[in-house]
Amino acid sequence: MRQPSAQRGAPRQRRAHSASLLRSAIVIGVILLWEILVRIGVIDGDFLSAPTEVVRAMADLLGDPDAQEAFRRTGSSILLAFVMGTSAGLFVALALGASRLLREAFLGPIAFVLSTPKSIFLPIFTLIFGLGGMSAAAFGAFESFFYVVVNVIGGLGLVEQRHLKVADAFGARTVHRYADVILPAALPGIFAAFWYGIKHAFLGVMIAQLWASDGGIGPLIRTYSAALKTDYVLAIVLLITIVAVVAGALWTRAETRMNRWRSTGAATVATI
Amino acid sequence: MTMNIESVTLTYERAKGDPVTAIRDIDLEVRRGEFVSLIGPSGCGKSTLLHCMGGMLRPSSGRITVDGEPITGPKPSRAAFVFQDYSLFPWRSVVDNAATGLRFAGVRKAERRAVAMKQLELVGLDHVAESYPAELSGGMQQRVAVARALAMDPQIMLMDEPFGALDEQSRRRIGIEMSNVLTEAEKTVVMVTHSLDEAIFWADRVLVMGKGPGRIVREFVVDAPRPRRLDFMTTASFDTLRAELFGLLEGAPEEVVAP
Ligand SMILES: Nc1ncnc2c1ncn2[C@@H]1O[C@H](COP(=O)(O)OP(=O)(O)O)[C@@H](O)[C@H]1O
Ligand SMILES: [Mg+2]
Repeated sequence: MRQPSAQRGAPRQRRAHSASLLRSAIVIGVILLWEILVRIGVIDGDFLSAPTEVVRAMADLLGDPDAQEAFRRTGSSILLAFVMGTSAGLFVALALGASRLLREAFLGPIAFVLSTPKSIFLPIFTLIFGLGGMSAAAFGAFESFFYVVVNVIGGLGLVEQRHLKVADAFGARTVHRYADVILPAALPGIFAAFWYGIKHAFLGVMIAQLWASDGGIGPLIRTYSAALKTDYVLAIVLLITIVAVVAGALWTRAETRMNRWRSTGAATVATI
Repeated sequence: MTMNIESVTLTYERAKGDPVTAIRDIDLEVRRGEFVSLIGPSGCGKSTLLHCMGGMLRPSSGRITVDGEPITGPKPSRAAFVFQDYSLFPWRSVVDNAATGLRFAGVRKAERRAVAMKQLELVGLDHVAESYPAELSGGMQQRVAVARALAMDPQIMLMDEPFGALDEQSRRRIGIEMSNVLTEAEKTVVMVTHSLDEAIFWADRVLVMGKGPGRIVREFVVDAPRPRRLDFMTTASFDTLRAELFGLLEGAPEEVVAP
């Protein structure tokens, strides 16, 4: 028995509103406290810069051509990693989805690599590709590939035999089977795959660049850290966080729109 | 249009275990404008026979022709299915679901939506054309599935326990409604059902199938004009037929020998 939603809706909305107020209050409180503690010298400003310093550093960074160049290089490495990792992952997943033999042969190893820390393979990428952007992009692609495969295969598991039967009965050709049944049914998995694809492309590129790279944000962070310019390091971290949060929000919206035919919210991917 | 089924046998080959002969030596003729219902115990091969008629399964032996042309695969303009579980595409609106077969046939969007809309009007659902299947009751979903089949303007409609998943009351109401819609559209229908009432109410001919392996054991002619009204179910001839069918099905249909 379902209760009329209007009756339960109002208090729930009010609670959500209060929760977001509380959240904002705590964030603002922490920032204020942090600023004060640095100002009165309880926290050493050399190790943890005050929020106002970080904001000033951020403005500085955004205007600095060298920093801009670093962001651009990292951005294009991430994009390249995402495109390579996701397309390879999608291709492999569709092949595995179409053949039980391939699935039995390769899904196990893929799931195994997924569960290992992939950073241990990083030196191999540096050996092969050197210190340039390609090395970071290739490692990012490698990171994201496994997540894409596993999520797309999970999505293919949502395809229902009865829908394929209807498609056949109503004269669907192979292209229709994919476009009208398989892809829409597997969409939550494909969305999750894209999300994890971009997330791990990002992580992979960042790790590779922090570890060894001759360009991009990684070396920038290394330089500022070595010079104890904490405000700049924090500003970079904050910028990256803002980009990630905005991207996540846009993503969730797009996904909700694409999946609006689903009456339950169960299909939404946790965008973390 | 005449569909001829000539000594059709279908044996399922199984990866594990022995092959199963689901139907053996079925002979049947379905004529234009006729409503035929298939009734029989579970597992006697009703769905198998229907799938063969629609080209979804290839008979192991024997042949099926429509106006002399052999059936080699599914072709919705010749035979369109209505399945028990509706199986609408949940990611498509009602009208786009009704237009599914036309889309596969390459009909342009505006045109196929217009045709689908007309069929939705016929089944009384044009007002929910832009809704999604999840927002509809089971009975409404099945009417959309009927509209989807009708949109192909098929020579024959193949319905596999179309109302089996509905509650008793909706089942009777929607059953009568759809029977009238299809009668007025002058369709040819073969319907599998578990319900004696439904089998008699719908059909010009009731075919009773028996098990082991599936074959047609009896044929009853229901001699009443269509469209029929609900009170047809209260007539003496309906009762007599029902009693006879009941005896046949609840006795051991396997033992019954075709006359
Ligand atoms: N895909 C299949 N593979 C093997 N055996 C099947 C398959 N489909 C149906 N059968 C068998 O064929 C017989 C007839 O099934 P079916 O046509 O579904 O009967 P009904 O629709 O009358 O209940 C049953 O014994 C069933 O187990
Ligand atoms: Mg069946």
